[in-house]
Amino acid sequence: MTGDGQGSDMDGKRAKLSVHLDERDGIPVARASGEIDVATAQGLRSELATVPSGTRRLVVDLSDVTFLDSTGLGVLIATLKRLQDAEDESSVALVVTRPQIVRVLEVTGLTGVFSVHASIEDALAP
Amino acid sequence: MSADPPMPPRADPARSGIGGRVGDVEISMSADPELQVLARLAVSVYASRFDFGVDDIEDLRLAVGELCIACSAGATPASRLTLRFDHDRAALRVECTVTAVESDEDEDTANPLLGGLSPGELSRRILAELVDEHRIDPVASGTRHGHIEMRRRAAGS
Repeated sequence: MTGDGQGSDMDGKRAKLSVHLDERDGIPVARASGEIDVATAQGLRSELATVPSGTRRLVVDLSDVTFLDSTGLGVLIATLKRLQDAEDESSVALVVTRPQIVRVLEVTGLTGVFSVHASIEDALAP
Repeated sequence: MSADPPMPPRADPARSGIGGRVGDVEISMSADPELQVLARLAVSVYASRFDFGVDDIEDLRLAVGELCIACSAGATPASRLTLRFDHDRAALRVECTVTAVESDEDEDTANPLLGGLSPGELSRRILAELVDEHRIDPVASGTRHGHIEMRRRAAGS
């Protein structure tokens, strides 16, 4: 499944936020690419909404995300809350490699809410 | 014989065309979320022109995005978002004004995962961490103002 949000790249060229939802080892993995901001976050929201409630583990790969603001964080938090409302033990693991994305997670204290990993393999590890 | 017409005042070379300091920039756009990327792009270019470092520029890019989000809450299709950048040896400042704002109600609800913060408060927390000063004013006469300031870091800090 793929969802797109509208965005723009630094050179002014239209660039979409792409979100692809796959499954690895029975765990849903959403791979996002582009900028997640107030204009594009709906694309992420729509795609993550297709992850069934009751899912115990979800991985969101943000390694190709170049910008993440409070709107995008709100989508991730809402997704975690929805999953945990149905299943207390549910967790959302984030794959983050870019320093600017790590920074926004750190300054908001969300590194204590999501598990943050440097690779999909780490995020999928039992 | 008629008197010569008065001469227009000479431009003060120490001031820019909008009446501010040299280097002032003002941009105005619809408050459409789709266009907020332009605000981030503008502050990136502006800060890089005035010798801010890569990390500070990244922080400013995020901070200006949050400033626009916070000031645009309750914006309508008629809303205009105006950003004014200026700097001196001490700091870079960004003023944001959004017009035709309909409501000043914070409809955000506290989220337990955020330690009871609402998404709007999350935005303010990001601003508090990234810049040295920030302020988001309540709506007055349909207009909301906001402000951020980042002071220059001492070399090596």
